[in-house]
Amino acid sequence: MKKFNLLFVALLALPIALPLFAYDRAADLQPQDMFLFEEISRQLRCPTCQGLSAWESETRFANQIKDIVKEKINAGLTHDEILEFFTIRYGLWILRSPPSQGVIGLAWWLPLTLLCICLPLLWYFFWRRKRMLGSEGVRPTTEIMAQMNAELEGLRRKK
Amino acid sequence: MADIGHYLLLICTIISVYGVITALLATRMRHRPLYLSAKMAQTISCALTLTAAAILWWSFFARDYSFAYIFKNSSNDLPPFYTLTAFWSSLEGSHLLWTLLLSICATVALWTHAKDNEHIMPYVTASLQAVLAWMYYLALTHSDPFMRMLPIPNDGQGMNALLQNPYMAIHPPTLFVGYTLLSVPFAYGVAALCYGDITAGWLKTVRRWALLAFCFLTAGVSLGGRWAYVELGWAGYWAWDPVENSSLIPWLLCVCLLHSLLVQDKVGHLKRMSIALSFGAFFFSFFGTFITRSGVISSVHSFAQSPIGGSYLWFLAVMLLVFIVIYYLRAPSILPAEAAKVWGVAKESALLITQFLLLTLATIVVIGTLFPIVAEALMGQRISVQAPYFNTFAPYIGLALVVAIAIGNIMRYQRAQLTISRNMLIASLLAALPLALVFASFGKVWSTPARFALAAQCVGIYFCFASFLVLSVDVFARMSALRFKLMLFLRRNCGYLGGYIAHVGLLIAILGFLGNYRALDKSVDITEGESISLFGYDFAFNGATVRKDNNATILEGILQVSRAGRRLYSLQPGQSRYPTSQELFHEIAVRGNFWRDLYVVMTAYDSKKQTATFNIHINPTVKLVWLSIFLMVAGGLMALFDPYRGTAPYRGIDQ
Repeated sequence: MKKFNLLFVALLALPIALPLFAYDRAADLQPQDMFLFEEISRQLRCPTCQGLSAWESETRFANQIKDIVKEKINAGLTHDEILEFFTIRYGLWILRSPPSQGVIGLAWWLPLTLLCICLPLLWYFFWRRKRMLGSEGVRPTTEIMAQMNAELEGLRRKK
Repeated sequence: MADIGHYLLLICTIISVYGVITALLATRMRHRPLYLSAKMAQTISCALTLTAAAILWWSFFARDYSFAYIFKNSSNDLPPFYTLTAFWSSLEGSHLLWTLLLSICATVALWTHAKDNEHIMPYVTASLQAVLAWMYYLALTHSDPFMRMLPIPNDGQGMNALLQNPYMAIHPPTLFVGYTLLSVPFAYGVAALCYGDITAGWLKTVRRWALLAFCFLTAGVSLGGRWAYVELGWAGYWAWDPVENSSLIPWLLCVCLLHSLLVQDKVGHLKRMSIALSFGAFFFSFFGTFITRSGVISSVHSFAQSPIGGSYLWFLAVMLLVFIVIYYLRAPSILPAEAAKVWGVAKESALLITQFLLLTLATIVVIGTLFPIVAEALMGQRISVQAPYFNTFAPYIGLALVVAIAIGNIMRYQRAQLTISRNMLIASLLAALPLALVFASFGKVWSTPARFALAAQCVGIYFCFASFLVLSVDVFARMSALRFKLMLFLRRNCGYLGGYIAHVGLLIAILGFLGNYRALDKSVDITEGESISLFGYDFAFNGATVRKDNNATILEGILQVSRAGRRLYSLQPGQSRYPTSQELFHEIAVRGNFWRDLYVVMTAYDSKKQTATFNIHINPTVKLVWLSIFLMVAGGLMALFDPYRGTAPYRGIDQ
């Protein structure tokens, strides 16, 4: 029976043991181009994953992208040209961070602009206000406190 | 059974609506029995939700596939532990779990309130039950775990294999507990606005709940990271994914709230800031769920098809609008601190700057997460905002936080003075240099090829150590002021010491994050019986075996790791297959020492050539990140059990 179990497990394992797409990052590439390859494939997203770059992912689609990057590097294209090629082919979506030009560049400029606006506001609302404080609201002076305490005492006696 | 569960939720919805109305009437008519009725309504709905949840659990164990939810998320071969956790493995169940936890949390908050908070409790009850009423309504309409299924199948479709991991089993409930704990500061914030005043009791209660929420959120967020690290196989724990970001935002706002409460406690400032932050933290816990659950992240077009999304959006909009209206009308009645206490170069200003930094990071995370959605909706342009975007900003904010921690901790309230002498400060800044050098050389920082990465690490490591020493000297100075009477020091400074531990935790975490700059990885093919040398290690591949583990079949490669001829350990990275899915899942092997993790994934195995492909990663200082989580949670818990703060009256300004 035990042997039979083992056979069953082996049968189940058969599909696993079939060769998968093994990806060799260094294949078909000159050693000096490895850095460029890594840099570019880290900037391109894996289309079928969430949050991963083509470099980090081993999915079929990501491997295809890496192959194209290699092809383009070997064809002598520069870093920017390769990224442009992918942008034309798949749209801006393929880049992991949006470009800083145009309306899309707002993604970069918005945090910086907010920072530039908020820092003076912070100063204005907190440090500059020290002179203005004290002018708003009713402050419990000793007189008011004494009056209120007396009234409270009166209420308690009534009870 | 399913019908009973459904009706229980229906009754809960009605009871919660009743609770909101009676609590509001109680505030209007100043009628105590009405408030008590609302409180009872909350207690009863909590008990009923508990019963509904128990029904679902029981049916999971009974393999009752007449529930569509159980059919989709379990199967006959699911082990008992995962049958328990299958409860929250999908939308409907996790919504019910969240509702249950929120209900329990609200009930506990209502029964354990401090005596001097009694006057605002009707408002607290109303706001908590209003949220709960909506949660019940949603459970009934759009995410009903008690949906029936006909005909009744014999076996289920099985639980998502990626979720069959101990970390994933406890990560969602931990995070949900954190989220629900944030509801209490939110309710107290609304109540303070409605009532128009903040008392010392308010501060104490909100601080306790916010601290507890901080502990749970820290643990929850990091358990998620730990799960990604050991399960997903891309050798990282944080990818700035929208799902991760949406859990980070409430955490950041919660930390911000804690700092705001501190200023409020010591100086009396930032009362309205605390209220706004307590709302923000709670709001973003829902907002995060909205963007991750509604399908809006994958595309705004898939959002249109998801019914839960529209409902969530309405709720969020109404919640935001109601809060803004209440805030606008009532915030002026919450008076600022006494006029004499002004802002200047002092600890409260440093705390304010810390809050500013945390809010900046939170804003960047919000912008980065929402930008693709907005760009697609407004411009029809699909774009991605991923890790490179966030990693551009995060290091600078991290560095600023490290500096702010050092400065903020050694300043005094209300005056431009330090708690430690200038010589001590200079000494600790100098002493940090050799410590940083030792750390850098043991951690092999110098081998980093990229210039920016090397500089970032050097600066980061130095400032972390400098900050750590400055904090420690401050502890020493405070202890020496009490003539090293340890018990007395502990009794008086439990909160302070908790803060110290949590801050040291954050510094250690940053030291750990810096390790990412020098991470290495390479993909290699090894044939059985051969060995290769990589990153200073020797890897010998001793063949592959197949074994069965519960319901999974695992193909494992046996990799013998040695270094300089000395055998270190045997690694078994593998691939697993579950009967209910065609997909293959990585079983990752992680071993290593304090300085670096050896992280191996087997990506492919060719049985004909007997060759396996391994992705071998060297991840430096990941262990520091896990260590830091323990410290942060421990610090939070320690501050929570501050006996001095609990019983003593308001102490005024800490000299």
